[in-house]
Amino acid sequence: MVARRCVVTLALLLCGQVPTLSAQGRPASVRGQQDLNFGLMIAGVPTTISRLDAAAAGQFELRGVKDSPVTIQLTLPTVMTGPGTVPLEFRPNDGGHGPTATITASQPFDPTLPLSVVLSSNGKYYVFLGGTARPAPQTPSGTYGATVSLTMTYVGN
Amino acid sequence: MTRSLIRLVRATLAAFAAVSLFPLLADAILVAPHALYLSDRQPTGEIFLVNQGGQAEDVTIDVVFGYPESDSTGEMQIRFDSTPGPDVPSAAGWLRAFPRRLRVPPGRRQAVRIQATPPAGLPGGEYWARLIVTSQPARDAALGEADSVVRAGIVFELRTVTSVAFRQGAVTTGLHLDSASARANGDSVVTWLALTREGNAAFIGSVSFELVNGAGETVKRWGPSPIAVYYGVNRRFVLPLDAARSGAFELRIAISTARTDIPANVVLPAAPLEHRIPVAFP
Repeated sequence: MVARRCVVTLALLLCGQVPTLSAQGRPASVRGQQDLNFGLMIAGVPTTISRLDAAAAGQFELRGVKDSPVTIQLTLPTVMTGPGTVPLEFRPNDGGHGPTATITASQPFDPTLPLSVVLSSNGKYYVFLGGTARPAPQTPSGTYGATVSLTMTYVGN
Repeated sequence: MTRSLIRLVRATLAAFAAVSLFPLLADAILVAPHALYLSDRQPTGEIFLVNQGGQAEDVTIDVVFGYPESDSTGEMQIRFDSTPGPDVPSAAGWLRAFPRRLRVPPGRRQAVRIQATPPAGLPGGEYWARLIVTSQPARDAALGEADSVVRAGIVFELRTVTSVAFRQGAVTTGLHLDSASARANGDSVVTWLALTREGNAAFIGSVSFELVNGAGETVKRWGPSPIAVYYGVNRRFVLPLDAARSGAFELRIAISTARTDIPANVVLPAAPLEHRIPVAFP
């Protein structure tokens, strides 16, 4: 019996920037700092990445006008696709957020719900994302991926 | 066993291929400005899309009616309405983006024209919409070229929501403070402000807070923070303290149209609003 292995890699890299014109103050942006990576997985064995995992959790940096209120909405996939599909699960504490890049200091939030935050006094804010992949025992080998959307909305104008 | 090893090597290579996409995707599309103002005298404007990434980005632009409002917890959110009725000041139906879909090469900046064609006889006032700019790596770029082992197939998408306002005729704005409260709550001061807009245009400004002790000395400042009142809001502000306080203080609130992120020539003037609330720390 040949052991089946599959590579399940989800790079939930959300990147981009949302600037104002330079003459209108500091540009606003949201940038993917690190992808959410499930790495090498074994079919039939769930893999959970903690939002506090500095090496594997998705990490995003928001920048903009200091003290600005913004909303963040993640649109998360339910499966990764490839040669087959791999179900994904995002629980209410799989999101993390905070005014510093220190992942262990972040506060939990439900990534399936909108998040209202105020950018810090230096205009930055950080979002972290964990999750669980549940490859079935019959999952074919290969690389799997998914589409993730991040919406950042200024609500101060 | 050999077959298993081959699968493992292929899988590892595939994982590397996927992860190695990351540096190419570290940046995407910038959108500027985050607030665009048009008028009957200047019905056309531009937004700029800047691709700071290392690969082409496909961008689409949608126009939807929406405006900021507060929810029951005092947080702000955008109320979207894709089918606004005739009783709301929506500009979404007659604002157009040219082009609406485009591909921005890496390192390039492209302008998108936003044109207003309001209906004849449009009453005076301010009309609102939100631009939703969606970007993701161009499909061919996302898939990569050297994918002889396994395709990564990872697609990333970012939506940026910015505002557009169209001003018809004379527009004015102002702000009325309906109620205000503040209380000490551990290491912060929780403040609620209920505000109603006056005039026929949204109030765009900023709010600042000062905590003043019994001797009249300011011991802590917060803000200015952007604030927008399109109809009315009931905002909650959590003002963090940097030191333990005790005794009687006063929270001074100042709201004005001062903004550093929006050109002064499009910010409507309004009388500043000031208010004071006693705050007792145990």
